[in-house]
Amino acid sequence: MNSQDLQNLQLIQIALERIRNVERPLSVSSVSPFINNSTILSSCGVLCLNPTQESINQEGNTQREKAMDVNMLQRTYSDLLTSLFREGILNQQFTELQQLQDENNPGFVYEVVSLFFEDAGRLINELISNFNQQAVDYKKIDAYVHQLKGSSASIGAEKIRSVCQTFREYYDKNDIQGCYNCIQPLNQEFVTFKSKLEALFTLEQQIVAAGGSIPMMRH
Amino acid sequence: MASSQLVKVLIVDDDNFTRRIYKTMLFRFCFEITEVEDGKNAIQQFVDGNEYDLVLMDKHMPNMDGVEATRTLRGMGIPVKIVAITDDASSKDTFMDAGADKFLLKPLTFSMLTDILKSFNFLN
Repeated sequence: MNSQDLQNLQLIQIALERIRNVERPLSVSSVSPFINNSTILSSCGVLCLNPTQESINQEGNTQREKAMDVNMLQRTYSDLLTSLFREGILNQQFTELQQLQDENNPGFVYEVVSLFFEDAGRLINELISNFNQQAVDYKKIDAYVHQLKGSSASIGAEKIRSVCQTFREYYDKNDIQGCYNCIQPLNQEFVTFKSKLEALFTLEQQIVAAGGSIPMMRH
Repeated sequence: MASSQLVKVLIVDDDNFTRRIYKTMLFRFCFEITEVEDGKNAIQQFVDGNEYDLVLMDKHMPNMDGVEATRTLRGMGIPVKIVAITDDASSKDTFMDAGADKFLLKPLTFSMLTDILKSFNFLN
């Protein structure tokens, strides 16, 4: 073995030491101070990745992971929205609202549904409170339910609208017990509607934050 | 037509939620929009000298309902197009007798609104 061979051997030993001490494959940049012969490098098992290629691959992996996250979120969103229509919680009117949302009104659906949460929550509290009075003002209660029926119809909250309709049918027949029996289901439908729509909006925010677009459903 | 080429619309509904939806629909056409909460305020708009091309009129409102507001406007000789929009299907004849031009059942959809605007030639 001549002196050059000895020197090369020493360099290889240093390179191998570096390889053992790191988890990832070494790039040329990290061993080139010691060895600049690609034949020797490859014989040491060092992956001959140039820095640019290495960072491109890392970037590609990150982008693929991001795309998978967005796809998963979009699928979850679509599944949730489909289930809301299938269960009768939403109707076609909700799709109408989604179609009104555009670059001039980017948060339109969120805004109107949030308004509905506020209005409907207040109306239902008034209903419950009125029914608990000694002297129940049924005309006032009917007015509240009428308003709730209108707003729920406007946003496609089908189950809420339907319970309001049932209430008004009892009211028209002067069936007070029937009216009273509608209040608890009405509250329950509102609570369900609110929690599901809040979950839907959370998913929307996550999709947008991950760089994706909101899937549009056709019903 | 009101003085200027811009179509002027008056939304008359006591539900701010409904008014928000109508406004968003109408903004698509770049119309000028005013909103009031009841029939009495709708009448006041015209008394104050404001001109409109179209009124979207709800029925059940406090102070003055939509039928009475429609009748009053016609009695004042106001020729504005009035579209009654309500969930009370039984009020159609009453509204039309009061002088409404069209009657629609809630909820109003974008395509319903577009059809109405086309029928009045507001989309030229």
